[in-house]
Amino acid sequence: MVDRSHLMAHEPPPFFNRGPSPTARLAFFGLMALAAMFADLRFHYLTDLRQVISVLIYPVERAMLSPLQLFGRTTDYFSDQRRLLQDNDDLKRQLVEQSAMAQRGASLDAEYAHLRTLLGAADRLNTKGLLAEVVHVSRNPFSHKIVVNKGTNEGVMQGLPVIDGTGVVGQVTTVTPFSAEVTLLIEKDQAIPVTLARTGLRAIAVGTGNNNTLQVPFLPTNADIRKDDLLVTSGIDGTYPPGLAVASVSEVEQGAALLFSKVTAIPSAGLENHRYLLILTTPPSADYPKTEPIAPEIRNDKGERSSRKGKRGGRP
Amino acid sequence: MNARMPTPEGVIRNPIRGGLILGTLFAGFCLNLLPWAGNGLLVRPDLLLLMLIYWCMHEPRSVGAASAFVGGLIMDVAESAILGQNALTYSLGAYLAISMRLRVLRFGFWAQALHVAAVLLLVQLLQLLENFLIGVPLPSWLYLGRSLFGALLWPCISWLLELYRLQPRREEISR
Repeated sequence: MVDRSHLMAHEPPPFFNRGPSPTARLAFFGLMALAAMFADLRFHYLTDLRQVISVLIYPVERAMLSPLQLFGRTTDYFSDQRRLLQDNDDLKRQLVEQSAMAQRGASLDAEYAHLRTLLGAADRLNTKGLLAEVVHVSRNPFSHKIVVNKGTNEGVMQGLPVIDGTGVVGQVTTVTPFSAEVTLLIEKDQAIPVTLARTGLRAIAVGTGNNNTLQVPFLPTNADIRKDDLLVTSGIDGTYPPGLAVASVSEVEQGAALLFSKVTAIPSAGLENHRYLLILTTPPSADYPKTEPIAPEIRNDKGERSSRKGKRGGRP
Repeated sequence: MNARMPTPEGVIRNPIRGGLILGTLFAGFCLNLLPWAGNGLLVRPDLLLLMLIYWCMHEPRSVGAASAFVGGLIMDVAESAILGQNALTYSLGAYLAISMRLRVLRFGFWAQALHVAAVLLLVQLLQLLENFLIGVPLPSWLYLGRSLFGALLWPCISWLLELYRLQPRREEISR
């Protein structure tokens, strides 16, 4: 049915009326996109919109993963029986070996708890974990993220640390009701406070964004750090519990020509090839060490204390 | 059908239905969500963008910058990129497609694919620029393979949809 309403009006019929020109439309939507990027990057305003879209596309995402899962199941089905038996034997041996360690661990835990209560300090290793399965790696070739199948429905929050069997994997950065995005340690500018297991030297390990490596910046050129040193979390930030393996130093470059030592480390956790991860569900900053300097608080105690604390809490 | 002349004279094509447009766009989006990783992810063509360009060229009154913007926002969430990154690049792709459609559609499919490759490449350069400004390290040069494979897919997509549009409808057969 042709729309003839324009014939009634006294204006000329809109023969070639196509609305705004393509250039005007590009300008409008380009500016909208730039505004959205600005709001998302600087102010984190659009998290609600992101949540809504992610819930809407969740069924599609799950459906498109099924070909891969089908492939995995098929190959599992046809896998060699001898290999399965071998795996089974290996796992049994590991179980026996580790059960001995676990028993020792239980007694050590009891001893540790006893000593902590003697010292009157909070139990900082009391962390609960939530097992999550890796659904897929990020589709964005520019970022190092993985998506796991636990979300706000299971109590996952932004900022929670994520580990696997060998070390820290990263941190939850975006949560939706059914899934969560984990930013890996090697993501550019992803920082984690560490301490050198051998000497107790404190430092910060920062992701480089490529080559599966971390950098440890701002260490003086005479710092006592060597190849194969283990970096563990220091727990200073209140996000990562202390004592988790983070990375091992792979390269140290020190010399008079450099301002700081150039330290490269390789993450302990298998960042690209794990299936199950543990999300540590102790809320971040729950156990922030109370070693703040007192002097500034005396100077301005007109209700600015809380805002200052808030700022410090955000720092890694 | 004649692959060198995509618009045969004297043939009336079936009208495009909204369902076909939505269906192909949705299919492109679904294929984008397939779990690629590593180098496969780097060279995987952006099929949603390709379908948007197709419909911007063939049905510019239904699909334009607005559809590209919305599709880009959805893709941003799916890629966990910053909201607006793909919206911006898709809008540019839609603009380029609409502004060159009258010329490009006169060519055969492979010549069309060359033009589409240029559009895809420009879109990718804008994507690289965005990520460069955000401060993300650039991926390897294999990333540009996306444009190449996208352009190679163009004749297949065009041919399939052309077949669909030229086939006689059921009501015409029964007459």
